[in-house]
Amino acid sequence: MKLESLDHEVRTARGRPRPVHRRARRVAHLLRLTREWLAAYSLVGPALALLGFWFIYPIIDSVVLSFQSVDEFHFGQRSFIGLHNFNQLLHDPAFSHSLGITLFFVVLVVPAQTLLAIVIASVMQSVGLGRSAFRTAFFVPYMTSTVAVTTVFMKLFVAGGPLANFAAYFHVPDTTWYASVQLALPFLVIVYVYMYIGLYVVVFSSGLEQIPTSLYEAAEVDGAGPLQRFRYVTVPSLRPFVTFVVVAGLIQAVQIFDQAYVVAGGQILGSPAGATSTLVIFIYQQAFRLNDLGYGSAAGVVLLVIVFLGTVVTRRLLPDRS
Amino acid sequence: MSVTMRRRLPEHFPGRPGKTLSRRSARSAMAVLGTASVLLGSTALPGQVASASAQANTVTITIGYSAGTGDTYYTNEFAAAEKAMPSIKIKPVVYPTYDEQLAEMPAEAAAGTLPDIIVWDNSAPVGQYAAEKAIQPLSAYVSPNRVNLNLFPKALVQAWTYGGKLYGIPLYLQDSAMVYNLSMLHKAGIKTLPTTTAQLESDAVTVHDKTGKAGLTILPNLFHLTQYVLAFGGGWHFGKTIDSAQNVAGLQFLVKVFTKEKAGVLPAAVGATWDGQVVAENDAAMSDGGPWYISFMKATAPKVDYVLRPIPTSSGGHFVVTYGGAYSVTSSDKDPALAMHLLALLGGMAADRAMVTSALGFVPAMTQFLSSYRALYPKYDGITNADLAHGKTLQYPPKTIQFGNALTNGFEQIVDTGSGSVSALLAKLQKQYGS
Repeated sequence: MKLESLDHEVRTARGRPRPVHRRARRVAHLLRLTREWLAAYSLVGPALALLGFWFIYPIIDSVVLSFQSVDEFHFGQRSFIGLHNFNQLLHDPAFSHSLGITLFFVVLVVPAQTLLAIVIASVMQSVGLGRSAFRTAFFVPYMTSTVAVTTVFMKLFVAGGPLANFAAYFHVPDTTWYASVQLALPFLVIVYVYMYIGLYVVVFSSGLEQIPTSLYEAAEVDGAGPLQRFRYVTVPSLRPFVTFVVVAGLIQAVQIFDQAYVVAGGQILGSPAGATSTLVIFIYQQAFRLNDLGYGSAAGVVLLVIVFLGTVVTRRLLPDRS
Repeated sequence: MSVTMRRRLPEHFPGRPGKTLSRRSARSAMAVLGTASVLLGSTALPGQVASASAQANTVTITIGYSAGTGDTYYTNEFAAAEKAMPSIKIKPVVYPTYDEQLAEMPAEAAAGTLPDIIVWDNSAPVGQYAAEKAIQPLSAYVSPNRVNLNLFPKALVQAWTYGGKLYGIPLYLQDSAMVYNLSMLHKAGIKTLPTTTAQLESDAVTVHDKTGKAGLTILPNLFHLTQYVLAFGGGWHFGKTIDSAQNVAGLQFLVKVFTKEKAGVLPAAVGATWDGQVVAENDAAMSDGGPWYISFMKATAPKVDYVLRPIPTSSGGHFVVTYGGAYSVTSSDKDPALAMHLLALLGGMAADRAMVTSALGFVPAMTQFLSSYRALYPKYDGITNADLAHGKTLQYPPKTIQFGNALTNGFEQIVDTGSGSVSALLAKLQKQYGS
């Protein structure tokens, strides 16, 4: 029922204009709200349904599974086992090994890619001609297939290969990096940083373009050299972008999988000797190779908590205001 | 509702203000959609309707195998079987690679989506599948379908028998062997092939010292590590003897060659994906392998002179592991009797004869065709019928995949970093995976 028609009824009954009854107003208001809600939800409904089906439901199901034991050859046979899976994770050396590897990987990757991306973006900013070409060049590895990039790097880092040879100048043994227990993880770090740095260079470039040139001019007038301008103008101005890059980089790095999968080369995941057994590799191995869905889900829940806590802590430590 | 929506849209909304879908337009749109769906639904031809009713009497059986050189063989054999059994329609389920087939199968088994029949070999954890009832025992259907198991090497039939029940109708034969790159051995001055593991070790050292290349290579996984365990008189015995002295000696032999003697190389260390590549590229003189080397070497390294021989043991004897590919009926199949009827054809004499000349290059499963195979592939002469008949079996522990991963990781750790010992590793595995 429309508000106008309700108003009309009230007028004719009394014979003279008078304020609409409070209850009628409320009903009309509720009707209008209902219509708006209906319209809004009919628009976002499909997206919400997809989101729920593809993301929310799997998360909830994973959490539920993490408290269950699932028969490896009969997924329908499930039993509630409380915190057993989590307790087992606590005492599983393979899990703590994967956790350690992942944390080590994140500690190496996130600062390296953030610093390198700032430096490259700043250098690119000072280049007048061909800036877009450089930006595209740096972005290409990010768009390229992980399998292709990792395979190319495997050729470069094989014993006697160009980069393994080059590293030998720095007293690193000339060996196949990805086949060595000590060098397999650094190999993953190099491939990963190479692939993702382009994305963050683009982020920082757009940040640099937002810094007013007057700030640099003022700093120059005050006698600041290029390094001081970088330290006192560029870095503080980029703080919100740094926060974004660190948080996004952390979330991405914790989930490293593809490169490690390729390195395994069809053999046991995490090869050699578990040196590349990252947390997601561990989860995949448990859930899909060993078919222990409950245990794999428990590890997945731990990963979810790590990502959440990592994001919260990073945001606390790095204020997102310039 | 459309009125309210239009009112609430901001001015810069990139829609077309004032143009809402009227009831008439909506009806027209629905009519168009309805007509389209009716037209799409009615595109079936009368012939198809007829064939659909004919198909109602046929039973579709899915058969899973991995893609590769065998595609033509399977296509031909399936067509022949369909001709012989008109009531059956075979639907192939092709996995991209054998590794992917093995990786996908556990989840398919759990989800109940395995093909009715699968082609695989028993270096896979067949015992685990049998124990979990993911594959069905076929013993009861052997006699009614007149499948003569005596046509196959005894060891092959035994390799497909778990708990006294048969779980596969053999299709092709596989066996382990030692592969010797004669070009490299001659270059190192070695004229005779080793007859003991001690000689194998000294030859590996000689090759390394004389040529600078590795004497021995191994693809680190359960199957290949098992060969050395067996060479020292050991074996897993379904998890009963994981930490036996013979098993320790077998793995210790490898650790010594790789770490102390530095005469071994793992395929990944030279950028290879498996041991065959290492031998083919003259990066190692010896490796455990099998008949799959024959077609690979022919295609990729025809100039490399090599031979296949049974694996020498520590006591001066020799052996091969006899195993092979087979058709297994999975738990997805609801009519194993019918499936077995089909397998009597697919694993029958005509199909096995065709295996000899197929592009697969696999050894036929029936003993009577071995001479034809050897005539075609003389490189297989080194493996005799007696070797195959008395071949050893793998007898993996029950949690095969987990055990294999843990064993391989532990072995790699010892070889690469020198930390830990074989006896400690096997003692730990006995505790974890022993039965």
